[in-house]
Amino acid sequence: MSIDRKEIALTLDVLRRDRLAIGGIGVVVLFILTSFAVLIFGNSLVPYDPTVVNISAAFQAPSLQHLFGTDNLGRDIFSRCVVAAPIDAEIGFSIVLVSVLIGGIVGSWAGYVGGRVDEILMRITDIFIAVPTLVLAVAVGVALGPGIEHVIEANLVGWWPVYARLARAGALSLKESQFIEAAKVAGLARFKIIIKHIIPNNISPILVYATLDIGNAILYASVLSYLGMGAQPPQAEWGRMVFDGQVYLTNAWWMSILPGLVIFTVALGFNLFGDGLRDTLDPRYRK
Amino acid sequence: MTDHIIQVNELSVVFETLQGRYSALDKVDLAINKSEVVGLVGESGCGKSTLALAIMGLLPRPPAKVLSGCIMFNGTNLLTYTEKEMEKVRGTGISMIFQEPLTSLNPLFTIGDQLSETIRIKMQRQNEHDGRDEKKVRAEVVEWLKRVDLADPESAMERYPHEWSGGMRQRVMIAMALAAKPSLMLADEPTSALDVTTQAQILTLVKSLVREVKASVLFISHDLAVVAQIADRVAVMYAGMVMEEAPVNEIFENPLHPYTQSLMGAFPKETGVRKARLETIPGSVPNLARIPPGCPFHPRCKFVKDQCSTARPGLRETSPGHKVACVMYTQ
Repeated sequence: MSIDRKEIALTLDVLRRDRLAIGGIGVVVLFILTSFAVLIFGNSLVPYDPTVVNISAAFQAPSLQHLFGTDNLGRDIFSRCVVAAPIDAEIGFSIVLVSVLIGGIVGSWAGYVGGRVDEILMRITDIFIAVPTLVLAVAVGVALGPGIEHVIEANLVGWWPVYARLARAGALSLKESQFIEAAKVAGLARFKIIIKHIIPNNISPILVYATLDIGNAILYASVLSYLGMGAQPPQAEWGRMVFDGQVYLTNAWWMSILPGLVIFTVALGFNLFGDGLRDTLDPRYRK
Repeated sequence: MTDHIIQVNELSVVFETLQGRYSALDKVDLAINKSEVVGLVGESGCGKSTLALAIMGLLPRPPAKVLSGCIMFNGTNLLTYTEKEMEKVRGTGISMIFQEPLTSLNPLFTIGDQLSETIRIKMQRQNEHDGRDEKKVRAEVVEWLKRVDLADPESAMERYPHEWSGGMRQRVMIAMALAAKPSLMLADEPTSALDVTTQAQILTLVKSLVREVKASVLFISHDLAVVAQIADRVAVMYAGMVMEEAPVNEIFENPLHPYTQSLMGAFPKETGVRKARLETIPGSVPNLARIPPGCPFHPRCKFVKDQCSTARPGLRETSPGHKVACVMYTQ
């Protein structure tokens, strides 16, 4: 299949009509660009060193000098928010991407093949769903010990089943559609039908849900950080900053509210982006 | 009788649901010869499609269950095949076209992409190496699009299903069903969703292409006019049973079974005296869970006799090639 210029123009045209999606894409692009910039330039990108403690500058309210104010140790919150971007990007994207991969394959397989395979795979998924995601993540996180990677792994354990369910539901309805029947009749092997017909047709609802889910993943990871399992001080991480500031909420609201707003904005950005993506992917909408 | 492509023997299929047991096929016997087009007619719900799905190995099991019988294809019983073995028969051995061309194509891929899938399967089964030769595959896709009379095949293959009309899509489906050169094609009401002019074109196309690839066809329809145009032989089904089977001219000129006669009577004549009104068959098709004992047609039959409610006659040959299942012809 070749991607021709007409298709791209059409895609852009559909997107252009959707202002909110453009806003969402803007936020997502800014988030990703910031992450890469931090990875390349490091702390020299931001106005203040995010890890240097300066007690005399503690608890300063937002001003032109410190856009987001300073925290209890006098560190510039804006700088800390910026350098935390790649870590949160890593957490959000890897949790969701791996979940899509595992859940997508397990769900599509179970839904399409059906019968005993479906029964076994879905009961396994149920076991994971039965335990609250957060409790499961905390348990696994404690067992693995502190570290960003471990936070990702801990969250994954409870994260993929939702995608398996989603993929299975899609596969179940696709299975009945006549083009699958037609593919079977043409002699296509079961494995190829799943790869070529089930998964591509299944992907758009999953992709939409996944983009909505990235913000969620960042939030969950931050809970683990709060409990001492994720980012270790002095490393900056959004969720961690929210929880650190919680103690000072009455006299220094900016400490948790502003990093919280950053999470909110990024989550909303992914959300709008996801909505736009759904419309773009829908061939009926394109016409 | 070695020239049979496929032979269905005493095939009985039931659907077991919570509401009860539906008898979909009852001891169906049907054989199709090489390069022969057999029309299968009957009202909705008489088991036509179930028969096609059974041959294809696509019956949803459960609830469907094969009680008895066999389907002999190339000397082996298809019912004993595993899913893996069935996959190898589909496409190159037996293929199928469906009633709804609108939903039979994957909306995400181009026409060319989907047609090349079939052609690749065929090539791979003939010769492992050929299937990977994209140029060869592409050339054959273009050739097949030409064969089904699609204008400008080069640009047509880059198009998506939603850009096409029903008739065009059905042409693609026909190309897909025949491109792998199957020995048998099942056509499940392929023209019912199309308008009459398109219908005629599609029928002509199927007829000539089938001759070209030397495939046999089981052509399912509820439309006698369509069957008259395309079939060499016709089987009439009612409530899961084959009631009559005869060469196409014979069945239209000399229908024996009362059900067949009623069907013909309910069919508008092309010429001749204008009748005041069309004949109809009183009553309706029986619920498959409660098929009447004896001959399933007897409650609606004009010539019903006492023994009809108890005796269930099998197919019996009355003249060469003409078989009928009715007590009137058992003497």
